[in-house]
Amino acid sequence: MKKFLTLFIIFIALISCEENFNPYGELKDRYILNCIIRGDTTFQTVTLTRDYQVENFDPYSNTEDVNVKNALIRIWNGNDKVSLFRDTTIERQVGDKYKTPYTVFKTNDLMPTPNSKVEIEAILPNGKKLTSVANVPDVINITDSLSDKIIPPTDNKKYIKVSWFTNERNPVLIVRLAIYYFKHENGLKTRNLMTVPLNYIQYGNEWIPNYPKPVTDQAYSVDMNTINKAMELISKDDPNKSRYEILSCILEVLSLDTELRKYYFATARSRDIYSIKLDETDYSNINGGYGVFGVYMRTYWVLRFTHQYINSFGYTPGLSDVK
Amino acid sequence: MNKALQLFFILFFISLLTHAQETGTLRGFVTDSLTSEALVYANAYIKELNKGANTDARGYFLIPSIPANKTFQLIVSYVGYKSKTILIRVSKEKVVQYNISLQSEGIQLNTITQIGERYKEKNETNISVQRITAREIELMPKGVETDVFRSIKYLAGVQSTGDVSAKYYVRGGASNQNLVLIDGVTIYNPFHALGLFSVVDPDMINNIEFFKGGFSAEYGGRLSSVMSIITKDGNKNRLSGKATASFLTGKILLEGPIPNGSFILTSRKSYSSEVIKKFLNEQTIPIDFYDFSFKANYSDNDFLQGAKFSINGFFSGDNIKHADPRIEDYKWNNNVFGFKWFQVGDSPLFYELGLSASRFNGEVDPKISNSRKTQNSVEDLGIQMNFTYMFDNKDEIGVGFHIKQIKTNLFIENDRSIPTDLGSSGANISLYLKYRLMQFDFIGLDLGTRINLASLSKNENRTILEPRASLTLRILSTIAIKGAVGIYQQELTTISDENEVINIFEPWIISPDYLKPAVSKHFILGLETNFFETFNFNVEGYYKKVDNLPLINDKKILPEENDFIAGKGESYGLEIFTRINPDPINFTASYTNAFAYKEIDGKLYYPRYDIRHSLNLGLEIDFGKGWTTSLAWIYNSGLPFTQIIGYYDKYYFDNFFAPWFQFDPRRPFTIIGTQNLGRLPDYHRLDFSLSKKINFDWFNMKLDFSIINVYNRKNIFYFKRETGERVNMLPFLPTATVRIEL
Repeated sequence: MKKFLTLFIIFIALISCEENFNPYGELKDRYILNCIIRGDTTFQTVTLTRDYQVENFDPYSNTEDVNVKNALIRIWNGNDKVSLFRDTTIERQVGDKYKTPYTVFKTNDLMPTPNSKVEIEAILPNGKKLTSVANVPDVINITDSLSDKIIPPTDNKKYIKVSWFTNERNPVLIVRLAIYYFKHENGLKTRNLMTVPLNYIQYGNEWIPNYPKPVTDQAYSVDMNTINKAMELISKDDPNKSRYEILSCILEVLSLDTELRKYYFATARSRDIYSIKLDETDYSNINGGYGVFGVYMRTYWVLRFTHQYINSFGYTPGLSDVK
Repeated sequence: MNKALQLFFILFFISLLTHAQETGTLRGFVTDSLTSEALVYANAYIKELNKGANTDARGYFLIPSIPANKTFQLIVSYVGYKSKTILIRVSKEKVVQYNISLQSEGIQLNTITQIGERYKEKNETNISVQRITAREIELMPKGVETDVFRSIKYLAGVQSTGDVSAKYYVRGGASNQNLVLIDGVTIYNPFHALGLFSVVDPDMINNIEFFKGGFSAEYGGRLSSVMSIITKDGNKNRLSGKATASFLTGKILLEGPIPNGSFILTSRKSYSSEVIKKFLNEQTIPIDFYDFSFKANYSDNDFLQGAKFSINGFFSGDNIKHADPRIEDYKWNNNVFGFKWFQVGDSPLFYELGLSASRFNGEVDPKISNSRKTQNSVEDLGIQMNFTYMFDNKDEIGVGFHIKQIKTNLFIENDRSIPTDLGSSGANISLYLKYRLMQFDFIGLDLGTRINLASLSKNENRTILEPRASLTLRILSTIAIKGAVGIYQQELTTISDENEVINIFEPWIISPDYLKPAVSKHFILGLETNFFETFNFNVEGYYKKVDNLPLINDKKILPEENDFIAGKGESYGLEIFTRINPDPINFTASYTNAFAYKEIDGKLYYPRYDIRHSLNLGLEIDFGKGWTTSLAWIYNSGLPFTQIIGYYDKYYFDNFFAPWFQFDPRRPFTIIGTQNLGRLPDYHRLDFSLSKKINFDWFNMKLDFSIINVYNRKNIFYFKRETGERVNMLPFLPTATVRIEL
């Protein structure tokens, strides 16, 4: 009986243990190219990295620099104009898990032309080639006659609205409305911005901003209560209101090309907090690797504040008054 | 072959002629003497004629061809009840009804009266059918509390992706291919608490018929399995009640007589979500759920001879509410209502009219976000009529029609924020015909077809005929060969992703018009042996093929892209089951060797629930004096999983407006290998349960103590790819319930 019990206990001890489990398959060299061409500048950047594995299965524990240097990167823009990218290094921010500067390939002479095609080619030091193609989207044109220019609106509306048109089919637009201001402190003037959300929700003493998702509409509007709340929050807990010099409010609209749009949706996940999905699907338009090559065009619209409105918060107007 | 067929038809017609005229028919109901609850699968046996019948799910039996004007002894027996012998006499060409009530001898198995002669249907066409009574469910090891869906996972051919979820997969079919009926009414999302528990309170169940495949023509609408739950009628003799408390819920049951009938009410409410943390990797979830059911029946021969009317309702609801407006709120509920009219006449004909309404609503409220609420609703209105006529030679003919008007609505955003807005409605009108050849002891044949006169799907390539056949060939008195084939169509599907091991609920929709309705074909062959009264040994092999399987299009990025693409499924396997049950022991062992595949876009892969080897061992012992115990050991070879090839730093659009030099918007992303090509470590677990029933003067008390995962095996549930954390399934978990019966 004793023998049986001992055997039983040994058996239980053996089978109750956590079995070792290695989730890894075989690592193959893969390279990642990221290049987002901006439509409002000639300065463009590209990054190139490689994949990796870590022993403890926690990918955040990897500190070995994954940047790839010395690659030949070219972009053909429209009429066979070629831009060559040169690599440079940039210091990382404090607290970054990588301790070495990261490598960026840059050029200063590439301005995409709306409705044209751009092609990228990266030849890695080991001879591997990554390529991709993107189509530059059409620009967004703000409709002057249908857009507000002054805050608060002169026709006693309870909201401000900016309208636009575009020739893009199924456009996906990223919008941001922000209040620009200076803060005077210790004899210094610092430039800041306060992003205006779609609305605020009060949770206890906290005001939680609700930022807009990508829009497909041809207009964007924000309630005046939200703008008022954003104005208040600029100087939250600061009794010295006059040191805030308010400039203007700017609405920026970014129009994404199809590839960027797909990549953006593929990365903007919105699963609920309880569901557990094991395998995430990926999206990339880089031939021979991972990453994204895309273009977006930027348009902006300035809304000026009246002095009366700025003064009502105790702030200082930074620009001339508007009627 | 032609000669064999001719011989068969000659014998068939001769037997029809010889059985005619000088006989009568006996029918009746077998019930519990204390509660008048129907006793299903009981034996009714005429000693002198060596013939008999088993009761059906209503406790109803019918024995034709009894010589008229002679007295015989009818022995009625049922496990756990005292057998009863009564004298019967039938008149020529008449149907005589005897209702028999049996006296329970308590749950103690070792006090069962030897039931002596028992009638066994030698040619019953019951391959792949498991009949489970309320008593058997009670004896199975409990988790936190008795759960029907968790209990059926002990059966061969029923698989799960772990012990966290109550979802089950039958013979390689997806979980949305299982039909769950409560008193004949479909229930669409039969789960509480993210699928951790079923909504069906076991106290309301009289019996369950579980078809793992090859089901006959009266069932339709699903590709894989049918679970038909018949609820209790309620105590016709006296008012009684039960109150039960577990770590998770409190529940009450009230039943009693009403004029010419009875009623039963059950209600269950969660009061603590503490134990749920054990299922969710210690994550706290503010969940609150309830279910409520009722049933009332009425039978008055002065009002209508031979009629029984019943109404039943079932309501369940779950709520997850967060005070924080940044976190969504969730709620989902089921409302089910049914009416039945069962009628026996002056001939061996009985029929049943059923009206049903089932509604599911699910909602995710994003609160502060400008997103629309995720919503899903299913409205299912049905009417069905089933006629069964038994010939003197025991052959049966069944005819029926089912009409279902279903409306589904769905608004959902996938995990890439891409909206799907689907709404559809339609009517399914089906007719079924079947013939059961039962007149020869050595052969039983159930041949039928379902005819879809109108379909929910608007796709023109739907299936009109769903022919089915089930055969039993008894080659020796102790050995029978059984088989079944059939075609099954499913026009509803869920937006469910098998990679989601836990989700809030699975929204149901009518299959989109651009997809043909899914169709499966079942081929089953088995061997049943009964060498001894206390020893059974069965083997079954199956092959199942599914075409037009709607699978989630996980490449959908743009709103205009389709949510589903058509795939294929294939599964096959071998199941071995044995039962050794000398009193007071009941030992069961089942082994399954199974293979399942899915194919999408020409790519073949193992689904998440493809378990190659499963072994379930169960031991129940009744020590007498109210003490019972059970042990269950489950072994599954490793579940498929997708290996990690490596990681790369992926670019995320955290802020489009940030200057390029301000921060590095890259975070690790997992590069995964070929889908489900790897295997997790093997799974095994031992569960233990001990029960004690104590009888007091005016009430009974039942105490249950259970331990899940006795030796604390660390079975892996999944591997968090983002952090490298290994998440295990249920740990060593002792639980207890107490029940008081008045």
